[in-house]
Amino acid sequence: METFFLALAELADPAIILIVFAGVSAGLFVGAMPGLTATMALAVLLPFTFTLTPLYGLVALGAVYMGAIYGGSFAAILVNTPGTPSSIATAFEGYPLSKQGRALEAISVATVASAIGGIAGVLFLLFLSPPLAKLSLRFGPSEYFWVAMLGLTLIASLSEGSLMKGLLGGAIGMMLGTIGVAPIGGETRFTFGMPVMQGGVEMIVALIGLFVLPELYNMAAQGRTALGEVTVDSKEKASFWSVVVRVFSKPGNLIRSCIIGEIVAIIPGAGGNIANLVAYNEAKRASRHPERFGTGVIDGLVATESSNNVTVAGSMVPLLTLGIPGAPPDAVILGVLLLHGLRPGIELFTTSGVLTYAFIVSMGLAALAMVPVGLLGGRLIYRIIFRTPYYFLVPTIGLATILGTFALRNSISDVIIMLILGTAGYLFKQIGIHPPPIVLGLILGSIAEVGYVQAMLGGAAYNYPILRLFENSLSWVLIVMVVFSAAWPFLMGVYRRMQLRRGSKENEK
Amino acid sequence: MIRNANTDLLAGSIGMGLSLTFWFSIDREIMRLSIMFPKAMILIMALISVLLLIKGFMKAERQNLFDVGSNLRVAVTGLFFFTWGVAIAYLGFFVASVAAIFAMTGYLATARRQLNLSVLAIWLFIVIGEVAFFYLIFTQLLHVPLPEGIFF
Amino acid sequence: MSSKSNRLYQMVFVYLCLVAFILVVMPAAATAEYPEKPISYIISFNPGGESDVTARLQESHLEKFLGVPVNVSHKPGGGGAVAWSEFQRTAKPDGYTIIGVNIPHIIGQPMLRKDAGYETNGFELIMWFHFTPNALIVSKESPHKTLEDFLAYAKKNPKAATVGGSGSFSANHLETLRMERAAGVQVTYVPHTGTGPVIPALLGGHLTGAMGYSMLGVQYKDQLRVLAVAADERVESLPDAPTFKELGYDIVGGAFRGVAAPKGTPPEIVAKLANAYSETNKIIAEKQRQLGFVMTYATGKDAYALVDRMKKNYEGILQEIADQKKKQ
Repeated sequence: METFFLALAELADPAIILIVFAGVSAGLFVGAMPGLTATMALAVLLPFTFTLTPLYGLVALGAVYMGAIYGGSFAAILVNTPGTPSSIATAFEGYPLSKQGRALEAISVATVASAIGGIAGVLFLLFLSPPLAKLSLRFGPSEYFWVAMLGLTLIASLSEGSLMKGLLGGAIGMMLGTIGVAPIGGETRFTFGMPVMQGGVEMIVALIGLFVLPELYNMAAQGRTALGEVTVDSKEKASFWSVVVRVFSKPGNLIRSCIIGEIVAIIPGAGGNIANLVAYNEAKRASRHPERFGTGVIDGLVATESSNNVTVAGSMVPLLTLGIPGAPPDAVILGVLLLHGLRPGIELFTTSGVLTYAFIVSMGLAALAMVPVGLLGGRLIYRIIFRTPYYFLVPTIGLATILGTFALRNSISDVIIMLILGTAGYLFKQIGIHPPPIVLGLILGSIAEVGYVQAMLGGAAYNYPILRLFENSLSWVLIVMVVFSAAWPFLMGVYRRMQLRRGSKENEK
Repeated sequence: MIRNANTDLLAGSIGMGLSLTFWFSIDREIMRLSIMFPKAMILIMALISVLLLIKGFMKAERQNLFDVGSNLRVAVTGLFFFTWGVAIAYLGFFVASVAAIFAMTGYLATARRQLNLSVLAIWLFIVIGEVAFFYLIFTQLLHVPLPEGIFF
Repeated sequence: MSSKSNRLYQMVFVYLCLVAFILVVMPAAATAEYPEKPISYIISFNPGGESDVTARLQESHLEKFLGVPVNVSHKPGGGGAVAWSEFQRTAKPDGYTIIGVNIPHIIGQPMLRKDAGYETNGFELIMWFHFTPNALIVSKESPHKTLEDFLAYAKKNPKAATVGGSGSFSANHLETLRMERAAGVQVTYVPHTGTGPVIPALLGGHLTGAMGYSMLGVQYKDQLRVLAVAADERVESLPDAPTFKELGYDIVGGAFRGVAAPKGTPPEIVAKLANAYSETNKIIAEKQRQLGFVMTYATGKDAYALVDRMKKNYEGILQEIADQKKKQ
């Protein structure tokens, strides 16, 4: 306990506050640019942190990370483009809100939800690390396979219209994900003779292409921006306190989303990209009006933005206790820890406890700092996008898109791949194959493949290696969830029909 | 614009086409570990496609395609994007982007307003400034080596 | 456009024009001797990996010795092959673009892939700066206390012992195959997408053991046990871990990391870079050694000799795999 208070004392330092605000602002910019990821921002910052004390360096990294995950929501809300994979589902509700002239309200909601999520993640990290770390270790190959299957059941709720077309989209995404080097076999496949295709289709490249380009083509077709025609600007509803009250008025949704975020965060290799989709899906399922989702529902926005910011501090549970990065950006933070001679494990919480606790709490500060920075920044970005005529907006977003795609792997081929996928995505959208299932397939494809092939290898000594998938108790928990989740739409259908019948009978009376 | 297109049939054929393309590009010498998963996925994709085709013949979902706004503008915009992407490799990022953005802005603006030379001149400067702004952030701050071309 | 937004644009415009002006004027000044402009140092793996962290450590010292900025950038994909193939195709041999290279990657990939897109000998090697020996590692809770325990178990239960590692045909994989040959056992090698995911799998009991790099033994001292290290001598930071050689198996191998320039780069530039890297290596040696790295200083002819030596080491195994693929 004493270490904890010492840590708090460390944080009462104007330099720390400055670093937190600067870090969150920088992260916001990075997150709002499609293609610039939190991982990249942290890597760029790395040499700079060597010149700082370990605490300052870590605080800066934590703040940038926090800001980046939150910043992704801006692009999602204002231009229907997830700035990072962590805010895919944010676009589903945020963009419709923007189209109704409620962009500022959406940004305020996202800000409040993100801040709550960020703080929840810090609390999980402070109080529940040991049991959560133990749970994270129980995810082996077969569990990964079932997690991916569970993720695929999301397609049902992500596909607008035809379920079959949604499934086809998911399959296309998975196939795109198999291009390049096999994650397990190590050989290349489907490169069609081009060495550059060994790199495969990076998920973020597909994400940018599939979400941004169709939107730009739409603007071009209509000759205006989606926001351009809106005149209503509901300043009343966007006022900060009313938003806070509204977000807190549904604590169930918040708590559920935070827990989902935390569980996904501790699974190494899965992060905000999956958490936001799962939380969105569950919010929709729990809602009394699931049919309204997709038209600008505040609950959906709260679910995605709170869950993805939980993963920031949440994914550091396995990192700080076991030295296992829970999400890609954590790998960079692990590098920093090691270079400063800080080995993850018990020592980190005892010998260097003051530093560790100060770092953890500083992430909570960063979450709070997002509120002023985000509300101001959000208004600014909104103004710019709102005022800019469409003929400037289309090429400018195009520029940001191309830059972001290029910067991801410094590859011009990625830019071409992005353009091809985006254009194909526009055509696919016309015939009812929408981008979200394709991206979901891409995210889950490699997880499923790694889990499946590794489980088969792990069972190499068995007569039937496939039995390995059904060995562990955690696998069975996941299997039950898969079955339940897949059957849910049918169960709901039956339930509704029964209610209808009862209703009509009562009417007859 | 295409009226009342049978979207199930279209989606099914696209899926089938992709399945066949992937299936026939499987390398004979590749080891089982690398291909077992993709093979299963191709089969699943083909199955979904077949179901969609069947549905397309039995009880098709029909829809108007490309029925919003100007399709010509979409096609030209797409052409601009691809030219831009390819040009970056030859002209360098800066030059290609200034040219592409300027041309696109000018073209798209014709849908909304009249253009004259002085407006275009101002726009050219805005575009140069905009690209320079991003160029500097990326090369100087983020250390992204943006492609160099004929000038820099 | 309203007049208000017009003014906004004018202000933005003036600002951006200034920016553009600086941009055009800045690169004008030119001097005679190499290096006179920033050097781009490409890392063909993701941020956060060993290659990246090492490059970040080197960066500031290199800048000091060379007198120009050294910009680290990433181009991950294909286990490094994407960056290497593009490098050999497009990089200008002027010393301003250099790239991190790894053994055995640059030996194995061109041999086993049809479309690797680059050649082992297509680089102008500057230096191999460190070596991370392979090590057989188990969880602290594992019943296998020594290498003999492990091999005895593997012998009794063919294929049942699962050994994790990073990638296929990687240093880890090839070493596992050599261990199988040397000890006459059969294990199941389970490739992972990097060193990172191997650790939770090992700690969670999803693997019997892992063929990883020696650093893991240092980083996860509390949770993992190193059974044997594939180095000539014991690693400084792991004084209690025996080498395979001591235990009677002639297995030495691991990953070498280094840096290379495009083929045809003038020798005096390569020498200058090699010098800067060597000096840097000496400075960061202390930090790296503590993390479990073994520092090397192979420049010039030694650098090529090292590739040849490692090629010979792995040739047998690689040929066997290539033959197997043909037979299929």
